[in-house]
Amino acid sequence: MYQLYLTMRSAAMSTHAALEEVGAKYELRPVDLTKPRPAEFLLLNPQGKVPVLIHDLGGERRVLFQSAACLLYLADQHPEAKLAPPVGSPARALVYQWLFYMAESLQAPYIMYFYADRYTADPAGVAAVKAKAIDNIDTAWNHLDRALALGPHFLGKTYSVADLYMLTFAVWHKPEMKTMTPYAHVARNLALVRARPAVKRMLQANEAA
Amino acid sequence: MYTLYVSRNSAGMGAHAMLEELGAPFETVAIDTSKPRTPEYLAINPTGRIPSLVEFDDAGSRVAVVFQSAAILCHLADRHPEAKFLGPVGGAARARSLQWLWFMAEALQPAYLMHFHPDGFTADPSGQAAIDAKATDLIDAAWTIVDGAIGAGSYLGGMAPEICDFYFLTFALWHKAHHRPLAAHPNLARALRGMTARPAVRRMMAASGKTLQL
Repeated sequence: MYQLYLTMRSAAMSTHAALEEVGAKYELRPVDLTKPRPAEFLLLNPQGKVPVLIHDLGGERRVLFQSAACLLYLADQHPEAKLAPPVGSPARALVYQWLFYMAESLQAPYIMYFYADRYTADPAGVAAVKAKAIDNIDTAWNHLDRALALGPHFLGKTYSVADLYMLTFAVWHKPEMKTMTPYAHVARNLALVRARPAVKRMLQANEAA
Repeated sequence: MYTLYVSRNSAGMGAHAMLEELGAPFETVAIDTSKPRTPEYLAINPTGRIPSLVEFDDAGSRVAVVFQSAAILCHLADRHPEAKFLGPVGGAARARSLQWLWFMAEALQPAYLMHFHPDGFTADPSGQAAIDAKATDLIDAAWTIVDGAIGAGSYLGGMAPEICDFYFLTFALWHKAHHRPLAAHPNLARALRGMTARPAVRRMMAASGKTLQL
């Protein structure tokens, strides 16, 4: 039994979709990000962020945060769902590589755009931070598009949590950012991921379909 | 056999230390960052960033290519489970170590990049000092969380180091005198003393020309 602490359209989307993919029993625990986090929540994640995934094993309760770590945990708990290749294989190394690449080079500039004031000590500098974030986002999609050229997935014909992870950032993309239209390989990947029944159920629940 | 592509002060220092620990044959190849990346390197890592790892089998054939320093640590730990730098698959310890890797990739590494490369965070060249000024606070905030997670343990990994400890070694070696001293975080300082007392880590630091300023 799992519990997922989340907000709608947040970085919890990929973990939410992975729970649907593996067919596990789970409960959603919405968190109100407009209010200060309750002390109980900060005990689960000192960063105060979502997602937080709890795996209740009866006698043992595992608490996990950081969405990419949650994805790999679910993949390893449910190997029959084939969401990640075997540990030690070159393909597993590529899953790590692209998950970290996206965390560092794609998620980071979206966060920089949405919370630009956290990146500069000068309130007048926020617009220039946002402008740079838009450029960094575009650079990352450009690299990802080339990585997906053979595709359609990061592992070629094989779907994995790396594909699932990427979808969140496409949902976050804003009209005022650079268009993603040139990135046809990314678009092909996203269309395949969005067509998965488990992902559709997650997107409908998040009203992000 | 592994080839690790590194440069001075790169994020590859953690992976370099772990290769020293594992005792597997490896070589480091230094990339000259003052020059554009060669087509050969860009074929290994199209982003051009450093480090990258190439793994060869006994016949000398390339079997794996991986970039992103944390991903290299994960792959090395998976290839050498006997070293116990990452817990068993499906276990809580493994999940926890990965969680902290992503935390540091998200909160600690970018804060140092704001210091070293503020031009990556603002389109306004005159705004770079304000980025660097903010970095100091963000670096300390991230270390505060790491310090709390180490708690009474010897390492972030618990009683023995795990890949998360090798990962934060790089950032500790990036720390600057004008930042809040790492020693202000007593649990972190204890873990760093433990890490830098390891002969393998000392070999990496000597080869990289680095010392730790607590």
